[in-house]
Amino acid sequence: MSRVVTNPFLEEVLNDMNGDQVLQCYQCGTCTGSCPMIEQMQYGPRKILSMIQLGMEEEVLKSPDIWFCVSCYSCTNRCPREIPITRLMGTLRKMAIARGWAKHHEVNFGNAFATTIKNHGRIYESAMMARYFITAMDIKGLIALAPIGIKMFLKGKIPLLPDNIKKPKSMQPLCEIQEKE
Amino acid sequence: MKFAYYPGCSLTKLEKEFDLSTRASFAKLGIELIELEDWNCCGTVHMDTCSPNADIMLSGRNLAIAEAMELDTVVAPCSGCYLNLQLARNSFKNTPKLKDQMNANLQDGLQLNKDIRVMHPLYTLIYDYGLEKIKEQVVSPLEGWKVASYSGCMLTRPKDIYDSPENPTGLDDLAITLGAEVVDFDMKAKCCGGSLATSHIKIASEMTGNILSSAKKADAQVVSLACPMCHTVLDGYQNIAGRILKEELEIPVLYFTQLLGLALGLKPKELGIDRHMTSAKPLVSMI
Repeated sequence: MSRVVTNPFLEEVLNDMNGDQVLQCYQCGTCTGSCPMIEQMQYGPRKILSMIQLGMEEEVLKSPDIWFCVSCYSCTNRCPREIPITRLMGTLRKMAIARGWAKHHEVNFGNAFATTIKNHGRIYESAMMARYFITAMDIKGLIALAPIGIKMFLKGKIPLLPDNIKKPKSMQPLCEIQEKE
Repeated sequence: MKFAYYPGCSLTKLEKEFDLSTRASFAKLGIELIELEDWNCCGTVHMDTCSPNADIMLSGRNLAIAEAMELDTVVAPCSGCYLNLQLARNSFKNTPKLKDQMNANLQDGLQLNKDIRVMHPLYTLIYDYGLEKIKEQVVSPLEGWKVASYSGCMLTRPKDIYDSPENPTGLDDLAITLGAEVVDFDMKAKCCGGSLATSHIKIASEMTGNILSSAKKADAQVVSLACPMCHTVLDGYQNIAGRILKEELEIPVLYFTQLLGLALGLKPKELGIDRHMTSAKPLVSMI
């Protein structure tokens, strides 16, 4: 099957296994109507798909929408064109990071999370939270979360020591496989 | 009946009560759970900063551990872990290249060659064990309990394998089997916002509050659920959610395995019911 594509951003998305279906979108809006995060978004998934088709690279990758996606798969479940929209959002997040355009508290959280997995192989909440609040400088969040955190600690829910896998170094290669079709 | 058991990170400490109650109630039913040796994090939904498919690769290693232990089914109580294992299983079937890449990056002699079946304990109870057989063993029916079964999102993904994402019934069917009454409420399959619980506390609290509010308006006395992230926010964020919505939202939030354990005659402490942020004492004393 041959196709003529004149915009490089669309081509890049189409070449990713999570994005190869974007031309299937016929703008029905079921995804946006299903999204629990729509109130936080600037465009919503329907417009994001249209903007990808139009090659609006910067608008898509700088939008808060790709970071507010909570990966609930409601849009993917309901999409009549079977576009894996949730997985596509992950690919867009990665593209935004590669271009240095990712500026959102979720980016700091994602980085803190991924570092924890590469260091320990399992989640270690204490280190992950410390890394997040320091890198994001999220003082407001820290103050809001403090009372809950203290109560959780008293309930024995916050680990003092990490629960590492035997060889945490074995995680890095698995975490960093980059798949292109 | 014997299965591989993948507790996942949340169940080791933060939500230990889900682990305690799953192990205790399954042991009581005679279902053997064998913990995967040296399992790793499933990748959750936060690994895109490394690779958009890191969740599939990390979950693939856990499937390979099950194969090495010669077990054909993995049971994963955390619905996030459960979904990632299902996604890995499906992705490896549909795109064998992904499996080859994963295998090439596995260490310690692990390799995934077989198709390992993935189950959530709720579906194990319904499809492998049978609710009728559970009913016969109920010694303390949950009479008079009005339960709001909250499925959330991950438990019914990928869609329609074991339950409907639009109108899920699995948790309700179990609660009824245990002698409880179930209430219908609008938010039973809506996202709790749990993945934003650290980075966007206000948004997550508001979403959580809407679920609690919907359950309370339906006259529920307790919320039953199957996901540690949902439990962390629904149980732990009640005060902050109540302040935001300007509503009284206090309600005990229990795991379905705790309801099961209580009905099977296990003690609340064995099921970790004392570990919740919102006390379930008055409710449990009704038994």
